[in-house]
Formats: sequence, C-alpha cells, structure tokens
Amino acid sequence: MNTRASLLFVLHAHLPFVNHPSDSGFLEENWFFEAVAETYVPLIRMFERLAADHIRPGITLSISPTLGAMLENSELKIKLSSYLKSRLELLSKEKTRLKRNRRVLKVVAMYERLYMDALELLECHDGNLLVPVRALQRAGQIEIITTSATHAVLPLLIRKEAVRAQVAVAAGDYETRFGRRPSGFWLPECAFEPGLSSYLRMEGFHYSFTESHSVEGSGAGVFSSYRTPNGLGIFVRDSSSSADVWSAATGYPGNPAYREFYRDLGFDAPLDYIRPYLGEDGTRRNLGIKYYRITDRTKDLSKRDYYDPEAAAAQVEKDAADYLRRRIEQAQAAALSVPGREPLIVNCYDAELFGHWWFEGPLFLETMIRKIRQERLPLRFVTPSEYNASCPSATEIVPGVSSWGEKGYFEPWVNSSNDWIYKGICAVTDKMVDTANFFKTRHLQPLQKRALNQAAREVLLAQSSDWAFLLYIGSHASYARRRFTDHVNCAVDLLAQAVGGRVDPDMLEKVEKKDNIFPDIDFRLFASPMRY
Amino acid sequence: MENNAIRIPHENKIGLMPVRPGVFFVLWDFSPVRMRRIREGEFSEEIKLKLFNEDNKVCFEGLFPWNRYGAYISHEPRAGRYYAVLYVEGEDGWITLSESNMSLSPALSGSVNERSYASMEFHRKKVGT
Repeated sequence: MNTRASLLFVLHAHLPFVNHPSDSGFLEENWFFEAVAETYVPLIRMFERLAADHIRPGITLSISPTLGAMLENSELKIKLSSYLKSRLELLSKEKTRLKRNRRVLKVVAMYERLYMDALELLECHDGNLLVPVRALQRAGQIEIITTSATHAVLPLLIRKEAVRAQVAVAAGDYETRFGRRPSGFWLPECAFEPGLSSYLRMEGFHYSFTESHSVEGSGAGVFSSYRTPNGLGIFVRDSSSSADVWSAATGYPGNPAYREFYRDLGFDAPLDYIRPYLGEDGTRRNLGIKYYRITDRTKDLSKRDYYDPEAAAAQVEKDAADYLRRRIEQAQAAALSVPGREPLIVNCYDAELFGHWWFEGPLFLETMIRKIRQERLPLRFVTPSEYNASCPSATEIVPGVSSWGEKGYFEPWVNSSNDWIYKGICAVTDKMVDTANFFKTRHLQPLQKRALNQAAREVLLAQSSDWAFLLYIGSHASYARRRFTDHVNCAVDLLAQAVGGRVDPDMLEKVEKKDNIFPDIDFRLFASPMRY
Repeated sequence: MENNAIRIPHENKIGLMPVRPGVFFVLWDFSPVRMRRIREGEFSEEIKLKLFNEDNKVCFEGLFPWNRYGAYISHEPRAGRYYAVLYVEGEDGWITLSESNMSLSPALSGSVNERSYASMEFHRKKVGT
C-alpha cells in the first residue's frame, strides 16, 4: 500500500524595488513587466482555474514587500499596461511579417493569448494583481507569506537593529497589504542563523524555512517539521526533490521540447523593425517573445527548431507524472525513517522560475495538482499552517547557519566582486541606528521626521541582497552599483540634514517620490532596544 | 573593487561576516582623525587582525595594509561564535582599536556541493552566452 505524504510547495516571488517615475523606458523595469506577464498572471489564472474546479491548490506564495509595493504602484501599473499593449501591437505586425510561416504563427497566437490574458486580468482589477491574490488567500486556496523588507540576507547584517527593522517593516507591510498579521517568513536566500528565530518570534511569525544541510548532523531528516527552542516552526527544504525542477542540466526545464529562454525576438528581428519596442537607447534587448524550443542544448543558439506548444504540453504531462511518481517513491522510503508520521516533502522555488525562466512551469504545477486528484494519488498539497495544525508535536531543533545559495552558505553575496558594498552598508546602518537612538524620544519638526523616515527607507533599500547578487553575476552590474551608491548617499545626506536641522524640502520630496516604498515606516524601528 | 562614489561617515570600526565554514570577511574603517595620524606616521601602515573564538582563544592572526576596506580570514572550520579585534602599532607597540560583533561560523556540511542554485545557473548561462 502506498504511504500518504504531504507536499509543501513554496513559491517565493521577489523583484528588487525598481521605480523610475520620471523615465519612460528603464530597462530594469522590464524585469517587472516580464514577470507579471509570464509568471504572476499565469500563476493567478492557474490558481483560479483550479479553485473553480473545486481543486484547492494549497500552495504557499511568498510575496516580497518590494514586489508588493511594485504591484500596487500607480505609475508602474500604467507602464505595465503600455508594455502589454506594445507587445500586442508587435505581435500584430508579426502576423503580417510571418504570414507564410504557419509553425511560428502558432507561437505568435500563443503569445497574443498570454498578453491579452494579462491585460484582461489587470483591467479587471484596476491594474492591481494583489486583489485576486488576496481573494485567493481569503478563500483558503493559497497561503501568502512575506520576507525581509528589502530582501536583505539577514545573517549578513552586522547590526541586530537592522535585522529587527527588516523583519518588523516586513510584518507591518504585510498587515497593511493583506489585512492580517503574517504567519510565515521566507528567509531571503533561505539564509538562516539561529539568532534570527528571536526576531521572527518577536514580530509574531510562526514558521520559516531552512535549507536541507541546516539540519545535517543533527540526526533529523528533512521529511518532518521542527520547531526552535523559542517555538518558531521550521520547514526544511528537500534539496533532492527540488533538484528535479531546479537543475538546468538535469531538471525538467532543460527538455528539448520546452521553450528556449535565450533566443529572443529582440535579437533575431531586423533592428529597424523592432526599434519602437526597444528602449530609448535603441540597443537590442530581450522583448520576451521567443519562437524557439531548446532542441539541443549542446548546440549553438542559432541551431534551434520552432517551438511547438502542443508538443511542450505533452512533455509537461510526462514530467508532472514523473515528478509525482518520484515523490511517492520518496515518501515510501521516508516513511521507514519517520515511522508513525506522514512524511512531509518541502519544495521551495523562486516563483519567477515558473513561467519566466521555465515557460511551461505554471502548466507543470497545474497538471501535477490535477493529477493528484484525478488519479487519487497518495499525496496532498498542504500549506505550513495546515500542516502545523495537523501535526502540532514538532521535534525541537536548532538549525545550523546555511543558505540555499551556491555552495550552501554566503559566497554569492560576499566575494571579491561585491564585498565593497558592506563597508557602505555597515557605515550607513550604524549612522541610522545612532541617529534613531538620538531622536527616538525627541520632539521633531515634520520635515525632520520625514527626512528620518526617508533615510530609513534608503538604508533598507541599500541592504537589499539584489545589488550584491547582480554585481556577482555581472548582469546589470552598473545599475546595481548606481542604485546601491544612490541609496547610501541619499541616506547619509538625509541623516546629516535631519541632525543639522536643515532639511532640503525639494531634495526630500524628489526622493520620497522615487523611493516611495513603506509609506508608514517609522525610523524608530532602527533604535537599539532599551537596556535596563 | 571599492566604489569611491559612496560618501560614508568614517569611524573606527570593524565588522565580521560569515562567508563559508572556516572563512570570515572582516571589514574595517577609521575615523578621519585616525586616518590622518596613520598618514602622518604616528601609527604603522599595517594593522593587525586577530580572530577569537568564544573561549577567547586566538584562531587567526595576520597583518594587512590599513587602507584596504576588508579581508578574508581563514580559521579551522569549526562552527561557533567568533569575534575579531583590530590593532594598530604605535610607538609603544600594538594597541587595541576596535572589537567586532560576534558572528556565527557555519558547520561544514558534506552535502552542499551536491546542490546548486537554479536561478544562478540560468543567470550564469546568460552571462556566459
């Protein structure tokens, strides 16, 4: 007889805060537009379809506060709508240009449906995708959790006041956005150190997630949930099952039938023809429209066959079935190691992997969830809160220092390409903490208070993990360098102005408009705890 | 590569960050007064860093140019709490200038090399092509 097992799926949706209100064609804003069209809308549609068929997705969705702010940003909503309309316009031209090529026209039609769908969903909710997401959570279909305010890797923050601020701002942001206190906390980059559990518990979080090697050597396996001595629930990512999807080399996304991410119309079409859809500088860039399948990864990108949506969908069926078969086998083996308990398999992924990177990812998820119901498989999707409610007696454990990053610790964020940023983070955080301590009980002029609150936003933005990561991989490195430098310098200037009592209102207003995240922030969150 | 475009307030400080089992990144800075005194020859141009475990046993000791912003220091890869101390050398010998935060070193795990970061793989491919 098959052992029943619980599958806990976490999709972590995050983008760095990118908002350039006075600029019409910032390349980095495309990250957001592409992720909306290719990942967030397809995932929401998938959840809604399942719910309509009375199949509860039971997926946990982590939405970073920076992404949440972008999804509700009124200027980005307008730009997003323009982006989708421009893609539809281009596809309309493509139908004429490619009218003799029936194989590509099928793909053009597929992209038309994709962008139309995104446009319709956005128009239906006044441009705010968090409206349907909130409704899905209220209906019990999914569970939404949060992460640190600006996706700072918390074990790398030297000042504990900064850890507290990152966690407290995130909790407050979630409450404002979703109308309830959050239960779960996604640690950016799954980066854990034991001291963090106190800060998470202090803000009322009930559970978090760690990487599989965080419990290595403790005698505990990855197929159970745990709790720290102060009562924080710990779910341990099963890296072996995650690798089926994660690995670009051996995972499903590398199948020859699937869409090739790296072959984009922005580099294939004549330059003059696509110029209206490029940025103001007119240089070639990805447009998000890709006509080819992976075909043979060992060969040059130019040697690719046209994408066939039906063939890809047929492959998704096979891969979803294979994934579930492997989980059932895994559960049977795990049941021997945790007798008397239903094995728990925890899978955590970047949400943008599904749809943006792996185009067929949302269909894979939907197929998998439907198969469990249709084929009455001994698996069930659970959210962390449901699992905790059904299995209250978790074993106590202190997970070790770890991350899900390359090599398992912190090297992607601290190496010779990016380590210079930490001197800036350290200095500006120290200054913020000292200034917050000085002003926390003093009467402040309104302008002074605004400057201090804006400085707090700038410090949080400087602490984002994204700048270090982009510098490391050498992608958008100059943008990362400039953003980091701007946030540090801006915080330093605002703090100096607040301390000196001479705040520049024009400069303050300009920065408030650009970095308009966390509207209710209170700079005192950076103050040191009182000592008695 | 340091970024000279950032305008940070300079103070005497030292910070300790975990990188991987057995390796920390240490960053340091000096107040403008201290920088001037080093430049004027009152202190040597090399600083000394020591890493201590929670039993106050020295686990690393080394000399570095004062005007770098940080360095990677190695120690026996044993999990635990560590802190670093920065010394400058004056006429009367080495004097303690700054003491870092306590930082936790990870335990060495056997399984980490078998795993990798998916987003990184995709990004790397993009960069490489």
